[in-house]
Amino acid sequence: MPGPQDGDLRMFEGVDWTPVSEKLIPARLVGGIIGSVVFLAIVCVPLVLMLADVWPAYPAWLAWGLPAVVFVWSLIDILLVPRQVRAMGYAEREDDFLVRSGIFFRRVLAVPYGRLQYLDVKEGPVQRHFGIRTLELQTASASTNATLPGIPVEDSERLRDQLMARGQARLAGL
Amino acid sequence: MTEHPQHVRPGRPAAADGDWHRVHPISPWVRGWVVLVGLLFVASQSVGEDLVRSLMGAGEFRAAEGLWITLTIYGAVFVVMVIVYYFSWRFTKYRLDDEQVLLDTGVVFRQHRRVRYDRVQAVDIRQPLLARVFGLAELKFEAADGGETALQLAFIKEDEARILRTEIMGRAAGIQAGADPAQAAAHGAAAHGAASSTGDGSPGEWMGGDGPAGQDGAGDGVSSGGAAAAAGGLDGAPGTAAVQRITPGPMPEAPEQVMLQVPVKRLVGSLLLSSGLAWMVGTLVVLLLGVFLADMLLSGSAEEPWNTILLFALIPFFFSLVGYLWSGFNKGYNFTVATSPDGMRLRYGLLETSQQTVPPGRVQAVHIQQGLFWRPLGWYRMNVNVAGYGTGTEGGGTDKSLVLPVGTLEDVLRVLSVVAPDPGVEDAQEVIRAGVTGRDDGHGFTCSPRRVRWLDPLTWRRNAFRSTRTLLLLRSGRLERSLVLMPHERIQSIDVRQGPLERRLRVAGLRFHSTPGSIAPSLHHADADVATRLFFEEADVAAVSRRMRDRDRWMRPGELARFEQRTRQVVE
Repeated sequence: MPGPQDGDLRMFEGVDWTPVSEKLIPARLVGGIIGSVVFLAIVCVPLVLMLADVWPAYPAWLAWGLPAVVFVWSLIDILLVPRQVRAMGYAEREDDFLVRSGIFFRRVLAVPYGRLQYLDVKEGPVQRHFGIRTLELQTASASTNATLPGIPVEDSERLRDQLMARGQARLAGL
Repeated sequence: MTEHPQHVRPGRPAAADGDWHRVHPISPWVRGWVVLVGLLFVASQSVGEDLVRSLMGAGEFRAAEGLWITLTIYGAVFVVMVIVYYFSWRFTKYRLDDEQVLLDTGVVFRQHRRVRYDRVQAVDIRQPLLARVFGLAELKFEAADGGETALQLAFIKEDEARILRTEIMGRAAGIQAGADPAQAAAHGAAAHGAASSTGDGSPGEWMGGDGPAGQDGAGDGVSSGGAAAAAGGLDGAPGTAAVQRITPGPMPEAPEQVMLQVPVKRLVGSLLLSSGLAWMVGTLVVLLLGVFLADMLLSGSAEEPWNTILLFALIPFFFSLVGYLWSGFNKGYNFTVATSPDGMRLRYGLLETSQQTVPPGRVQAVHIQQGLFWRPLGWYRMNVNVAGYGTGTEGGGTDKSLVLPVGTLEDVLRVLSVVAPDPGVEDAQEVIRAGVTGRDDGHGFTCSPRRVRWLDPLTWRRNAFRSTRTLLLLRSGRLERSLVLMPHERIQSIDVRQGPLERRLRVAGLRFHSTPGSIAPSLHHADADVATRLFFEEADVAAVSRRMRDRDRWMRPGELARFEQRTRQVVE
C-alpha cells in the first residue's frame, strides 16, 4: 500500500501512475488555439469598428486593452497545456481507480471500482484524429467528476472492459 | 415477469394481492381542485360583477341575455373535466408484483413504470389538506435517481396506503422473491424478534445510559446478523439467513416506537431564533435605517411619496419572511421521530401531513448543525442524505432531508441511534459533544495545523475530522457549528485538492462524495500528510467495508466469497 511520505501532495508519487497520452498536447493545442482565435476575433470587433471610424467614440484604451488581455491570457493558457497534460494521469489500484490532474491546483480523485455506476468513452473530431479518447467515470454521487482525457484508443477499450469487470465483481451499490 | 401471481396469499390484504388495482376515483379531483376553483372564480367574476351591480341598482343585469351561453360554456368545460378526469383515473393502475411495483398511467401517452423493491430507498405517505378531508393519502417511493420521485400512487385510502407501505418495506428489507409464504410465516416470529431488537436495542450505543450491557448488545446484534447473512451466502444456502429478516405473508404493520416529539413551543422558539430569520430581519433593519437616513438627509420637507414607495417595496420582503416562518412551522409541527423494524419513521405537518419511512442503512450522511442563536439553548438541527431525496428545495422548510427541526443534544443522540446505529466508538456521546462544540484536537479529532490560522482565522480550530471504526466525522464552523457523520461504506469517491497557497502551507482539502443531497462532506485545510493518509485509508475502507455491515443482498455467493477475502486482507 503506498503511504504518505512528503509534506506535499507529491507523496502520491508512491502510486504507480500512468500518464495520459502525449498526443493530448497537440489535440488540446489545436482546440485551444482555435478557441483563442475565435475569442480574440470577437473582442477585436470594437477595435476594428473604431479604426474604421464606424464607432469613433469607443475609448481607445479599452479597444486595445481588451484584445491585449485576451491575447496574453490565451498565450499563457496555451503555453501551460503541455505541463497540464503531463500532470494528468491515472492509476489502477487493487480496489480503486485514481485520477490526478492540475499543476497549481492539484487534485487526486479515488473511485472505488464497486462504486462505478457507468462509464462513458467519448471522442471528438480532433481527438479522433490523434487517436485518443476521453474516459468518464460515474458513481451514484453527482460530485464525482472523474473525466480522464487523452487515453489512446486501444487503452480506452482495455480500461473500459477492465473497469466494468472489476466494478461488477466488487459491486457495492450505494 | 415469469409468473402471474394470481394465487391470493392467505391473509394478504386486498391491496397487495398481486392484482391490478386502481387509485381512488376522486383522486384527479383532489389533485386538480385548483382548476375547479379557478373555473368557479372566473365564472363568479364575469357573472357576479354584473349581478352585484344590478342588485345595487347601478345598472341592469345585462349578463342575463348571455347567461345561458355563459352557463353552457362553463357546463361544457366541466363536462370535459369530468371526462378527462374519468379517463385519467380509469387508466391509472398499479400492481404489487413479487419483485416490483408497477404503475400504468396516461391515456394518450401511456407510461408504464416499474420499481424493484430492493431499489426502494424510502417510502413516504403524504396527505395534502384536501386529501385528508376525504381520508385519502399519496404513497411515494424514492429510488436512487436524480431526486425525482420514482413512483407515486395518488390517491388511495389512508389505511390502504399504510398496508402497501408495510408490504413494500417488508420486501425492500430483504424478502426473497417467491419465498414460500408458509415457510416465511414459520420464520416470522423469530424474524420479528430479531428485527425489533435491533430497532430498540441500538439507542444504547449512542445514549450510553443503559449501562455496558446495552452498549454492546445492539451493535453485536446488528453485526452478527450481517455476518450470519454473509455466512449463509457463502454456504450457498442464502435462504436460512436471509429469511431471518422476512416478515411473514400477512405482514403486520411494523410496531413503532416513538423516540421523540418536537414540542410546539420549542419549534416556534427555534424559528424565531433561526439564523435565516436573523439574516432576514437584519437586512430589513438595515434597509429601513437606510430609508430613514436617506429621508432625513435628502429632504426633511414635503416629499412624502419617497419613503412610502420604499415601504411598499418592503411588502414582498415581509411576505417572504412570513412564508419562511410558516413553512418552517408547517413542516416542523408535531414532528415525531419513531423507529420501527422497517426503518426510521418521521411524521409531521400541520395542514398537509407527511410520513416518511427510511429503511435502515439507507442514510448516506448525517449533518448536525447549530445556529449562532441556538447555542445558549443547546439546540441542534439534523439533516440526512438519502439517495432519492435529492437536493430538495433549498433552505425551505419543506426539505425532506430534515430529520430533526430542532432538538437537544439528547434528541440528537436518539436520532443518531436510528440513522447511524453503530457509532464504532465506546464514548459515542463524548465524541459527538466534542464534535459539535469542541475545538482543537482531542476526543480523537485531528484539527487543522496552527499555520493555517491566517487562512481560517475563525475556524481553524474547528476544522477537524475523526475516523471511528464505522463512521467518518467531519467538524467545521465557528459561528454556525456543524458536524457531518458519514459511514465509511457510503463514500462514493474521494477527492483531495491542493492549491498553491495550500501547498505553501503544506495543507490540503478533502471532499467525500455522497449521493445528491443537501450535505457535501468535506474537510478543509488538513495537514497534507494527514490528509493523504486519510485519503488512502478511506479509499481502502470505502471500497470494502460496505460488505462488513450491510443488511442487503447485493452480491452473488461467488463474488461475495472473493470480496470477503479481500475485506479480510484490508482489515488486517
